[in-house]
Amino acid sequence: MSKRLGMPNLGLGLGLRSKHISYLLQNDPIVDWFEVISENYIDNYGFHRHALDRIAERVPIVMHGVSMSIGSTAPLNMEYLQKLKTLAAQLKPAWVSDHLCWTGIQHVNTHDLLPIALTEESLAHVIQRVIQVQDFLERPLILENPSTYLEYQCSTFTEWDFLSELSRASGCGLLLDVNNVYVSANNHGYDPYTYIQQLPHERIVQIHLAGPTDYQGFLIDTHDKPVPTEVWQLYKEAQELTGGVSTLLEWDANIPEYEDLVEELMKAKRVMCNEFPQVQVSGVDDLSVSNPLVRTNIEMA
Amino acid sequence: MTRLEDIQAWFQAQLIGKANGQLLEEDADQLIKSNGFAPAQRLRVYATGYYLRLLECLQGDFPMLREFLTDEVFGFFAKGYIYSVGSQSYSLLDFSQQFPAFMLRMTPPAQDEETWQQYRFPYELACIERLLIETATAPGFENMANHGGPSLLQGSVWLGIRDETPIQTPACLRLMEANFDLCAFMDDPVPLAQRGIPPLCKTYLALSRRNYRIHKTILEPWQYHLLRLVAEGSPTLGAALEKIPDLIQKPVNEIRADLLFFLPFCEQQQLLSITN
Repeated sequence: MSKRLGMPNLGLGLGLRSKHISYLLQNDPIVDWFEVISENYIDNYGFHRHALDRIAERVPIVMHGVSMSIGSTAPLNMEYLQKLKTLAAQLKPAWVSDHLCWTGIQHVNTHDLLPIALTEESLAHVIQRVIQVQDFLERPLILENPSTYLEYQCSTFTEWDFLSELSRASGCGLLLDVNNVYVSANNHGYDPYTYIQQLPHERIVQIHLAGPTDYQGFLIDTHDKPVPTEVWQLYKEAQELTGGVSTLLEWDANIPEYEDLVEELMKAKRVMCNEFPQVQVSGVDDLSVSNPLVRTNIEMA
Repeated sequence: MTRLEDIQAWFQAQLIGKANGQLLEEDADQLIKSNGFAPAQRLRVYATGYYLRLLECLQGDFPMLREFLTDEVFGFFAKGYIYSVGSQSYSLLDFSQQFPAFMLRMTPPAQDEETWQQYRFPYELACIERLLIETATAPGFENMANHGGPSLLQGSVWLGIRDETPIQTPACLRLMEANFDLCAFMDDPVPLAQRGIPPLCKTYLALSRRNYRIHKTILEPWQYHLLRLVAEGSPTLGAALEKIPDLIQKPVNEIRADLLFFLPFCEQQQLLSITN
């Protein structure tokens, strides 16, 4: 299989979460690779970092960030980028990714992946910043499509066209989150298959899977449920169009036991043989959010 | 409004509660597509998500304080903190750093001793919970090469450690001067809901880490001041000892004698080491 932007197909992986760290220090991880949230390990020299170093000796790691704020009109945070680069030099991840979003301006971090207006001005702005980041990190940046709950009146691009242009012009790779496509398509009333079909498949390096929640008709990217049937169907479409790329299951709240998470991930193999899990999106009365922060383990003596 | 900068300024103001009475629904209708949901409703998903994410972070960082204060009172402080302080860091690990100080600022002046204790104890509980996070994540001595050079144990017991010996504390060491015995409170097996505010009890605490496990140690005042002086930059044992008489009434000769026992303890607990 050919490498994309020099990056291999790592196979099936999981988002590394603190709940499973102790288990993984004593057991076979079974999966092919792990994705870690970069911000959980920047400035963290405690047990979790120690454990990550041990796990990274056995299994490939990918660094996935939530605070680059590539779409923000605020200047890039060079202190953050320097720490990201240092962490990457230490962990040697297969690649470094973040999101097509902004997280704040005027020194505020909302810790959310906020939608950007998809305009010519935005495109030029983000292309220039992606190039700046890639030059600084000395590696391609991989950008993920976010889940969105609103679109701006002034947008002149579809999200898939924006990502396609951005990727071609800046040289960045794409992390296609098929759950986010499903969520956003529901929330904005477009066809998720058109989204996936129109992307430049040769630039897709990785796919994300997750389960959303229905809240008053909105689909919310909660990462706390099994992957629903519709997302599995989109996944198969994406894998066929790309020819097969690294796949990762994200789960951030109500996290199952490790073996159950692996079982959920392995459904990806059966899906490629047209065996689709029958899972409906469930609803909630109260809004919940995805929060991939590592909870600091206070291991008292 | 079509400029990216203007849109982001407006959007963020709605999220973080700094909109200053702007007409949310009118602006939202002009900026945000409807497609089956009211624009303001779409914006509210982000505004609610912003609050919930940061609330969850505070709840996770202060589990004992939350239980002690009850969800209602904790939520009052948390909401105030989220909307008046917010986050300026790329890391959520930093978010709760100013929360104890914010609680103190929000508390009215106490009119009597009993009220002072009622206000002061939750603040100190918040302080220790925050310091525990910092001790858990800041650099410790775990990855320092065991250099084979003189140890504090050898130096103090067998050789007589010299004043010019360069010493250091780990970055993860946190020191706290408390008005209550927080260690006893935190380790109390009685369910938290059944515990009242403990009696006043001046304590000096060191929070340290050894092999990634956290240790709470109650110190004598001179030990606390010695560690604090080293943590604040005194480069040698002698430099720290010189300043001790300004801080505490204990003859330096007695301190030097007690160091013979304290330094090996410090080494064992990874509170101090000789600088390479």
